[in-house]
Amino acid sequence: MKKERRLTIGNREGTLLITILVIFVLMCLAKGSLFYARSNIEAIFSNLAYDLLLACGMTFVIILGGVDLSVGAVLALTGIICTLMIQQGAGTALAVLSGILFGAAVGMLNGILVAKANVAPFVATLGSQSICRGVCYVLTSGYFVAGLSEEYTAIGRGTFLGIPNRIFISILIMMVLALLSKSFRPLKNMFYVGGNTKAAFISGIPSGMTTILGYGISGLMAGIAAVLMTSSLGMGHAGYGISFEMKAISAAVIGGANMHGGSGSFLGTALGVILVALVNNVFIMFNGSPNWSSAISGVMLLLAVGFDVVRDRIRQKGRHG
Amino acid sequence: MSYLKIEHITKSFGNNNVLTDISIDFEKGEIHSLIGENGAGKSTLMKIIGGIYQPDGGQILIDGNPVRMHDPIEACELGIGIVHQELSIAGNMTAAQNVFVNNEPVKWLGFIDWKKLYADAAAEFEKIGAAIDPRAIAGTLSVGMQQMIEISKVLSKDVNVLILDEPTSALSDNEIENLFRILLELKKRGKLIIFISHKLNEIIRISDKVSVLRDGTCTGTLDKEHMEVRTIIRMMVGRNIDELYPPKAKSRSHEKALSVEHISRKGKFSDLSFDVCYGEITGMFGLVGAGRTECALSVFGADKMDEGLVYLEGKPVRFKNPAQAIREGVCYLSEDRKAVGLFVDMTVKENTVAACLKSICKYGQFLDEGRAGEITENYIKELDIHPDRCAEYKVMNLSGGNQQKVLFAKWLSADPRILIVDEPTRGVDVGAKAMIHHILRKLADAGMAVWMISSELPEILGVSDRVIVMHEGRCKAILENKDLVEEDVMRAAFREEEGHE
Repeated sequence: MKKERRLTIGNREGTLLITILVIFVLMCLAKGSLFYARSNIEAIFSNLAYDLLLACGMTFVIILGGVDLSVGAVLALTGIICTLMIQQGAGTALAVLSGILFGAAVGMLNGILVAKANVAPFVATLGSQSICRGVCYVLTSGYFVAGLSEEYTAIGRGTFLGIPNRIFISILIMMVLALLSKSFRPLKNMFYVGGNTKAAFISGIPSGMTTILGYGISGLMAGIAAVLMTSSLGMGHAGYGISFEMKAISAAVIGGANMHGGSGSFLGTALGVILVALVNNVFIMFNGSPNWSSAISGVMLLLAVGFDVVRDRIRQKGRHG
Repeated sequence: MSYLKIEHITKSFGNNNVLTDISIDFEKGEIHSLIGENGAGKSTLMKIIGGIYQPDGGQILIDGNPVRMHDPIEACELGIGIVHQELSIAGNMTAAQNVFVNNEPVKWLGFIDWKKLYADAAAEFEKIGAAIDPRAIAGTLSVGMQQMIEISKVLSKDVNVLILDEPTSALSDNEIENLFRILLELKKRGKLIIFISHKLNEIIRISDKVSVLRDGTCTGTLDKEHMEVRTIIRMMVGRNIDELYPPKAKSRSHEKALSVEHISRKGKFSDLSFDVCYGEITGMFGLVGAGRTECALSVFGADKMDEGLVYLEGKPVRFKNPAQAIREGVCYLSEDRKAVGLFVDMTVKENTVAACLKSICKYGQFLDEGRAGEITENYIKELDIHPDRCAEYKVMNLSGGNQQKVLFAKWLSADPRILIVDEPTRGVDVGAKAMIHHILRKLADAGMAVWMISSELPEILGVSDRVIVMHEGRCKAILENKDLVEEDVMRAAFREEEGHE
């Protein structure tokens, strides 16, 4: 009885994994080959790549006790910078590298605003979101940036060992960050800074640098997602990535990250992204309209938060109040 | 017939029996103290009397009538008010708003009568003799003042039973005197005051009766004439604690570890000069607001310093941030363990290694989990942290005394040469307190320079080898702790004022 509770209620990753598996098995039984066909599975995972990357970066920022509203706009602007460079005949490596570095740079600027100028994360990143989105429209006047080289589009459209590149890359990056966050000191520091900023400072943990690094990683993830997105779609556009930051926040929170900072799990975030995508797919399988997708992820977010409230109540009853 | 009677109260949380069969009689017009080690069940019992928890068994009688309270509001209607240990002050509101929170005087249509609010608050403060401006923003006031606000809040509801859960732990001596005067006054007016404290001297001084709790049972109630430190301690811990304080340093090398010369910080402290030596405990005594913590923070690099020089083993140093100080072997154990000391949502292990992360890395920047576990296990054993397999427990699930030990573990694992401890035993029970004092002495005997800041005079006199006396940002005296008595220190602190009289 006690053990069961630990597996299901006490541990967010376990709960999510079980939920995902149950849905998966039920769908296989209900829809059969229509569901587990390779094309459907790939469909579930294909859009998930960008969400996974952004949600990973967002998890760091949330662990720090902040939030990054700029990632969707950074993604669009980075995409435009990359595609414009390719259009103007720049080498693929140069364009990709500058795009990714640009994303990281915007992220670090956010971090500097938060850590050094003491601007509230919500405000700082809302500002950079508006600026980035604005620059997108200035640069493109709202037109698509097309005419990309095949070398560039191969990044997003190619496959590796039969798995689409973008799925492979995003899962790889996520796994690396998840592993590093446990033991790599600069990343581990984020848990300390987010858990108690003052105590971290007194303990000699460089809280400013840690914060800048966290936001930097979030921007970096947006940069990588931008390259993958524009190369697989074959064009850049100022309207890409709108409200992606909200999806990323939802996924991180569904995955167990605490908006007050100090805790968050990359496995949880990844499972959160997958669960939202899966439920959306289920909905479509039963002939629901894709227009519902935003509402579905909203319901799941609130369910996850409600779940926390119930769990805390149960725990409090078990302990001294 | 007693006014408030509790009979055979039992309470458990899960499998954990917190209170078993507790019966105590409380009379009107008495100050009845409750004492016991952390975890003995004092707070739980008070929360039951205050209607926050409901007992599993037994009953509460007021004036002979059994009552059942389902929440604090019902308790308040029955005339029972609690001032909790953890203050619940809304820091961004005025003192007056805090006093009358949810109880504001209103005009027609429910608009708040601001004039009356401030006038009433001023009257409440006047009643308890607290010099608080009702319009001051509560968050800018000292902890002592905030506590006064909290007490006024309860008293303004005209209660018959006033419960104070460790009210003096954050107060300066003047404020404590003030509080006691108020309590005696309330007693005269026929109120029942239930007083929870760790400080034996205080309890003996003001209580009419004292009930002792141990492991969830009441080991007895003593009258005024039978109150004796020894007896009470024996009832609390079930054994005699012979050595309340550790012995003094055996040999003194007088080798200077840290010297500060004429350091100042505007509005906090000015022109301080003193030395901290290896192998001894330098006590720094001062009332709340004397500038002790501020001085330590400036030396440690957590705050700026306007003027003055700091020497580390004769070399001039000026730490820009705590990281530099830690690197040079200077550590600071903060007074407020929850706000600036520990990461309460993280595990004991993560807390223990927080200040020495750099030194336990392998392959560059990768934390060596095995090494972290080893260090943690060592300190759990050495400092006797309970429960003994708590490395993966979250710190918030430990008791106050054990949290304090984790804080010690965190700083000891940073391998300091000079350890600054700020109120190292605030809010911990007698047993843990004695243990912490012995740890400090052991560290000093092993050669470390310990600089202990405290506002508890018995602790200063019991533990330190030398005493720096601070008052209002100035260093008033540096005394050798040889046959020093409390009066000597207090006289030194107020020397100048006396001279002017």
